[in-house]
Amino acid sequence: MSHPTRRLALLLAVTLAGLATALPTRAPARAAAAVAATWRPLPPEAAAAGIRLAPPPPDTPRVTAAAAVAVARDRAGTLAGGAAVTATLGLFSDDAYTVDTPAGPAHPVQRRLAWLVAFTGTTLRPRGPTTATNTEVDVAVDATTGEVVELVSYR
Amino acid sequence: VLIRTTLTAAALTLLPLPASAAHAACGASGYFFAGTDRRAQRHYAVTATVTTRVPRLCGAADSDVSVWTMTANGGTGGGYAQSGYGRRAGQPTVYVFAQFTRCGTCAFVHKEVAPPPDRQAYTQLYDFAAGRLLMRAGDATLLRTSFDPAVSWTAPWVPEWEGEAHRYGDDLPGTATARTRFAGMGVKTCRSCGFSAPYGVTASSDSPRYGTAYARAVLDLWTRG
Repeated sequence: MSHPTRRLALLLAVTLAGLATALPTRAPARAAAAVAATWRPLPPEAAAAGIRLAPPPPDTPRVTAAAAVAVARDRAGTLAGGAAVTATLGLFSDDAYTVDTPAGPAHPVQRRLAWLVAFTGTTLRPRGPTTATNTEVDVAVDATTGEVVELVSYR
Repeated sequence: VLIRTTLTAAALTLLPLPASAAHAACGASGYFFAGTDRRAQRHYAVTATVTTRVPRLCGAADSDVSVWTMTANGGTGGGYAQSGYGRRAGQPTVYVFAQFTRCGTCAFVHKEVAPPPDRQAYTQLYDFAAGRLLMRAGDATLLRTSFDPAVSWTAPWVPEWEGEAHRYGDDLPGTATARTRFAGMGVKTCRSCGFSAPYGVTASSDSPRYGTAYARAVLDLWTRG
């Protein structure tokens, strides 16, 4: 094989191998289809993480549920594989998250229109000396910009 | 089949995948810590400014690497509050995180936000007025405990500065020539005290793959070549 041909073959192989490696993470065969859920308040345990989800306004969000789920999958990594997925639109607040300012602590995440994408049935191991594992990971995705606001797990 | 095998082998050699295999074998799943030895010292805050480096993961679905500062229960019941940065399987880079749990069998609370700057202070700070531990990164508070550790935990608490991997083959961030540095390691030993260097600190590693060095309130971590 000539050098250009070999380079082309390698490029093709690299692309195919990259796809083969990336696809199972981003769209695992066992992954359940995402379900857009109607709004409901978060469970009481969410208060430990400082997060709330208020009812959304009636306007249609710029970012679709499917797009938000795709973004959330990228952030969750392998935690998303095989998990059941729901996306709930609401006004997302994180009361625990504060930033110091000269005027005192500011709350940068308050009533942001967001999709809260929940991956349930997953396994999140702790980063510390404990034996517990969590089975749900939530990713808040800004429904206007499509940016990840934060990833949270509390149960 | 031969062509596909050959091309795939070539591709796997050349392709810098996000979660590329740092080692051929990930080894068993577990908890591999490197950093300071666990030594209780009365304190109400723990801090260090940590260099940001992106670790390589071995490619297992449960690969996870993090570096953090922590305040832990001094008793046997477990429980801790920590903040730092980490990378899990499938993530392209590291993200700032905070995590806490009241006890060793309790559900834990975990939060991840944005990628960190080049270096950042990670601090666990007891809020005497509220009776809560605050988990901080830079000038932000990410989480606060939902309980009062002064009530739930046994004093003195344990300050810790560590790197952690969940697979033997996962790398800790840093190399021998570009180490991950915990600078300005400090504890507050009373309510009105400023930060002072911790006493009696030595460094060690659960894995021979990781190097550690400690001197004068500076801890270095790295993965050996």
